[in-house]
Amino acid sequence: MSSTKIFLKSSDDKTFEIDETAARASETLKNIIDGGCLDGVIPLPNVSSNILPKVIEYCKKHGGDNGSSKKIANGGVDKDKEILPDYDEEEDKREKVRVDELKKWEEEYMDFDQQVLYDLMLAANYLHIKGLLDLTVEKAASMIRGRTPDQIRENFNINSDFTPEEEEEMILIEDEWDDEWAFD
Amino acid sequence: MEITNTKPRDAAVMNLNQDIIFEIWSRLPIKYVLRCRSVCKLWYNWGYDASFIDLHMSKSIHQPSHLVLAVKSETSNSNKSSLLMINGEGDHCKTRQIPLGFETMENRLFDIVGSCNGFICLSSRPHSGPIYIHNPITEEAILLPRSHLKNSPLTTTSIGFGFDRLSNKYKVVRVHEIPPMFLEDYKNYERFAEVITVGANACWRKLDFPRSFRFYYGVRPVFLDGIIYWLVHEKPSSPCCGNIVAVDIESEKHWTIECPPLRYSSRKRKSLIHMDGSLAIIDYSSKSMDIWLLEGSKTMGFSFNLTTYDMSGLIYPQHIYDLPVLHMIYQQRFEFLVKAKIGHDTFLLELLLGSSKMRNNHLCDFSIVLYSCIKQQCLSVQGTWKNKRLRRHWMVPTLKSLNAEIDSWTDEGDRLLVRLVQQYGVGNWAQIASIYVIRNWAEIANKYVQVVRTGKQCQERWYNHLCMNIKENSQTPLVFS
Repeated sequence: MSSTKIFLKSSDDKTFEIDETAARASETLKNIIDGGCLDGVIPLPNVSSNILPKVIEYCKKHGGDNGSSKKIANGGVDKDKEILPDYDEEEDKREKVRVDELKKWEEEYMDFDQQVLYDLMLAANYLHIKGLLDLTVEKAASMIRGRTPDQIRENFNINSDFTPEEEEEMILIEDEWDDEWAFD
Repeated sequence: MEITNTKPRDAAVMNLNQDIIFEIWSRLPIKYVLRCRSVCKLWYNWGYDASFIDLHMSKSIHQPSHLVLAVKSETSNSNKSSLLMINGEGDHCKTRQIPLGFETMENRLFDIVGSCNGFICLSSRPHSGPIYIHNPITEEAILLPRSHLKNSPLTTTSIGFGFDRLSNKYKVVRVHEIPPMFLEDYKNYERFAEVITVGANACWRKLDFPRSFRFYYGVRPVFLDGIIYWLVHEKPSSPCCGNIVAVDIESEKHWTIECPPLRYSSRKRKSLIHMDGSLAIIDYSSKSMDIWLLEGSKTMGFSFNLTTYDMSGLIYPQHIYDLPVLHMIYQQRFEFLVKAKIGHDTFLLELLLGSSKMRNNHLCDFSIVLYSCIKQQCLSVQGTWKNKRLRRHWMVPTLKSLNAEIDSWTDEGDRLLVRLVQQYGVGNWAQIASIYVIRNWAEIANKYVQVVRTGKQCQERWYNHLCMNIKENSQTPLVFS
């Protein structure tokens, strides 16, 4: 496929270039392209210029190829894995190397501060990039798992707006649930 | 400037829309969803959002589920039940005990007779007694009406609980087995099956069920993919291979699957469980077991895939008995039952100690262990209990509510509450709720499905609806219109 260039305009009026194949990683952009509404530049009023390059970087990595990379993007779990009749060991090895590479890339890619995380989630949601949404949402979920409500507040900079009485009631419910019974 | 500096920083996560927060939460185990609820008011309210609860349930189906057991409560002397939740992952387990979250109308013990979508179906013994459907996470419970059938003490009852995806309704199937005058006359067992759709104004309906079979003692029905399965046999004296009776929850039709014969006459067929996404029959001997996994479909025909496991490395946990002699004796006299398969070759087992008579009466001691067939050893022991009853089922915890369908206070219920408040005084909500449950069952729940009210619900109903009405009609305080 020839790589047609597509131009995206961020909320603060900056224009970015992306290959059509890469842009197709986004469900929203794909619909615009397929709908034939390509009129030069696609305006993205919900995505700012400091987050759009990050989004494009993800699309470039995942846009070009089909099926298999989407599965890897979902955390490496391919639920609908088909067992192909002409199973190729070489192919399997290459696939494994690719998965490892992608994992490493993802690790580096995901190294950013929280504000970027929120913006990326919003952008991924708005542009319907499932892999990116899964990746970012999973990171946010890991900031909650294993934490107490106080730690969750601290992680997300949330102030509790409960009255002391309400808070006490919450702690009671908490305790009921935290009471893990260890038998030996 | 300082104020404006802290505000946006504080609000960063709050700028995320609801969809994204729900996406995040739906990946968390229930425990952390509950914690998120207590973070701030906005999240508290979002945590009760029906669309989120549905999303969370659809995702948590893929997470490892919990094994729930009903046991005698550890804390109180009365015969109260509590629930034991065991969560197995890899080669370790976590166990948690939680009290039964609702007032029951008698001090009976409960069995868990079924579970689906995070709800458990509880029945007090004997099983012809009241049936509750309970969500242990939200602590909500509803009570099913009484059966039309007059019970004789000899009646045995088997209860199946399932969910019909098409109508989005839960159904409970109850099969009563009434023995003939002479026990040898096994062909003349009378069988009476009935079904109820859980919802407002529901009552029991008659259900067609094959008549010529008897249930295996102690083997519970299993609900899987819209169908409830029972293991049955033809003769009580020689339960050689038997059959599986399947009842489709949606159409309420039944069919029969023929079971494979026992490989050795010394084996005993004692389990029908949900395993690896299918149905499994398990035959036991003292040192090994045969697992028959059901394959195929109703239209294509069924077959069974056999796997045999060596269980010779299994021993009863020692520390429960201090005397080595006693330990030696007990080693001879325990039997094991598979509760679940965790991972490739690891099983969650229930070990029962004591004579078969004690076991049948649920008076035996038991233990839950995780056993690896390849390593031939117990990986971990999840507690040993003395003289406890236990009925177990799998569940995936959910915040889903059943009450939504039937949660209206009837006039009769309101009148009853007003009477109780006048009798016991404003404020004794726990006591009022427990008496409400008993009286409600006697007066109203006999006919219809009812929500089991908690003290808090009674309190809210009183302050939000009833006490104002009564003040308005203060001339006639006893009459509530």
